Amino acid sequence: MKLYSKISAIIFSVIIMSVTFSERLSAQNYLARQLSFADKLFSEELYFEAITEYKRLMFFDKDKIHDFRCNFNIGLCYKYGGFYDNAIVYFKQAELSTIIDEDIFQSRIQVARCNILRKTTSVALSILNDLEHETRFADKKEDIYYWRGWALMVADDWENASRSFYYIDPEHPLKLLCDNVEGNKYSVTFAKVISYILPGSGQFYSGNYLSGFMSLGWNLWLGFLTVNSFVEDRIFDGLVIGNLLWLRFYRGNVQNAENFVLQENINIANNAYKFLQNNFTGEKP
Amino acid sequence: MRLNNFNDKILLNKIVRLVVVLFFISQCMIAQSELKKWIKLDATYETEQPARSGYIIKNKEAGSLLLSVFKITYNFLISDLDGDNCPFYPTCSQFFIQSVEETNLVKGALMFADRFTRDTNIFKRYPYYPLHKSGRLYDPVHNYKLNFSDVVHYPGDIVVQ
Amino acid sequence: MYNNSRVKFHIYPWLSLILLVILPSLHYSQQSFNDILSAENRLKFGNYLFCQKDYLRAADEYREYLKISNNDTLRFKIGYSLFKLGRFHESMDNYKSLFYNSALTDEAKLQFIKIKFLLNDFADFRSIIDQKNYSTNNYPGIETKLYQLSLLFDDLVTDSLLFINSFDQDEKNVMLKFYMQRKYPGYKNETTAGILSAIIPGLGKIYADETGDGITSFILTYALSFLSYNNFKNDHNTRGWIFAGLAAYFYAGNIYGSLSAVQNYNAALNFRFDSDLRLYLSQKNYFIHEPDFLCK
Repeated sequence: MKLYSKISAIIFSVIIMSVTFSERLSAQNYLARQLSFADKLFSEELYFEAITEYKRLMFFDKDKIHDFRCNFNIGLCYKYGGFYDNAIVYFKQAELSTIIDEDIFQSRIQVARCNILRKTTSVALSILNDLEHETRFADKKEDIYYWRGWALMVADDWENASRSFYYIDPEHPLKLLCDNVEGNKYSVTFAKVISYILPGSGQFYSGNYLSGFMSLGWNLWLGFLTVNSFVEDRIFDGLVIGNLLWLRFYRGNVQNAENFVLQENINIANNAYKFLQNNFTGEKP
Repeated sequence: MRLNNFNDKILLNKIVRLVVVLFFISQCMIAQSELKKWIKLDATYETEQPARSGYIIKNKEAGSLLLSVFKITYNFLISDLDGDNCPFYPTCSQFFIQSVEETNLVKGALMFADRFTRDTNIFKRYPYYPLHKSGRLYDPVHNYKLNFSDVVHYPGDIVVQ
Repeated sequence: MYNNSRVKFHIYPWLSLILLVILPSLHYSQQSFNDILSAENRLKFGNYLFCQKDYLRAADEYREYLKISNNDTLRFKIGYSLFKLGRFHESMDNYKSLFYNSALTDEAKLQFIKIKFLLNDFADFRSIIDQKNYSTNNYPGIETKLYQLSLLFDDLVTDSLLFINSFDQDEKNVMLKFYMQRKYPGYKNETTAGILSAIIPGLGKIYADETGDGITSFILTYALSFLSYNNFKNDHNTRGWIFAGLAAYFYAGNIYGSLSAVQNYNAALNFRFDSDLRLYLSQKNYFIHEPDFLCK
């Protein structure tokens, strides 16, 4: 009889437990379904809709078991939609909703990547520096160097970018790209200095020959008029022509030399960026 | 005085309000609000190149053709070679061309003389003029055509897009 | 003791049986509760999004809910969301649907009127107020205030007493200030500026509060005139004529510039009046007390 009583008590307990946890189990089931639905939208690149579903999941997930994943994926959705400010907010929330080092690292890296994309590269570099100095991320150096290289590339600092990729691998393809860009770039200082010495030469240096000839012509002619005025004792004329005309074109020649070189350098950098956007198969911000 | 004209006053009010509303909307855009459904956007790392003056004649009409030839000659021989000397947007030469295009040669020339005077006054810069997104001081032609309904006041603390 | 164990012996199976019978129904109710795409849950989620200011998604959730059940509050909130998203005309259409047979008729009409006011077409605004269809039952005072303000914006206030008396006691002083500002804006006169600049180059610009430009104008015109005079005096007639032409050109340009400086001065006055009044109205939420369900 006693045995029968115990069996009955066990059966009763099992039923009570199943009733108690059925709500929880059922909720878990629905949350899992919601998560897979949101993930499906995410994988189909329907990012706006995916954000809605991740938000819905977070709203009904009272135990907050999916908080990190939802916040992180919402951040990714916003990033892919070009809403970098919003993306950063959600990556920071993702960081706050986890205690796992790997997740914290990934969230912070994503914040740095968003900053690279919105071209606030100094912020990205500061985040990467902070990560580098944290001992718990000592095994993540390569990742940090990689994204630092990217931040520097987008900041148009190809020399330091090359150095950053070198720490990963001396033959890293992005290092070679950076070296190539740096090698092809024109020197702004050189262009300006030679233009100070011989007007138009800075333009020749950057391949703008017509502008170089015109600058040279104006400066020679106006220089001659100025000097001639002083030689003929026409001081006022000399001052007016020298100040208002010759100096204007002389200054313009140096400005042009600088602008042309900067434009050429932008073209060189843009060609590299085009390659990175369209042909580079490695990980991008 | 033109302001006594009843219709002008109403039109002026409308323009000023439009500027306020546009400013409000631009502020909303800065906050990255999702105002409508969006789709994936491909990221770009490229740097925008500053626009260079083109040597293209668009309008074949006699007056406009003459103006275009003048503009091209001026750009080719002088403007592209004498450096960046004007702090305004549009620059003084662009201001002159636009003034003539929007009014007539005489009025355009007078507007240019006035602009030249303002350019010479080096003590009046930012924030008396608002900044244009190009980084220059915004001083548009429509504020000087002596048509009060076209005049729009831009406060000095905004960046005109 | 024996009796007690017998009682237990009988109770456990019976309790188990009862629970087994009611468990499927309990599970069923949990299932419907946890169906997070149900109408009720959409409503809860929509309210959450609305309070988070994610108006675009909140409106979508509310629309889904309305497919199943009618709810005037939600229709109102959709209108409010559309307004917040800058979709003014859609918002007004939405509010219109609450104009009849709704507990929120007056509130919807007020929001409709507010948007109409914000659209800046005050003549159209006044014609709407004049149509009694858009009048509220409980807030005629707010309509009158906005109506009078639309007249002030268009500078059409004729009866100052009627204007001031349209406002509450604590608003009257501010409104009187705005009224006086509109009535006596302190505009400068273009003709005066032109004459002043014709007498002394640059004086018209100084009159238009552009002292720096005025002094520059004076120096430029004076310097060119002096150069002309000096060249004529030294028998450099060609140069004399060139400088004379330039002096005349800048003299005329200075008169022209004085007129445009006055116009810009007056436009700045109007702008300041307009933005000050708008700021005040925005702080007072256009005299409209919004319902509490809007997550303020």
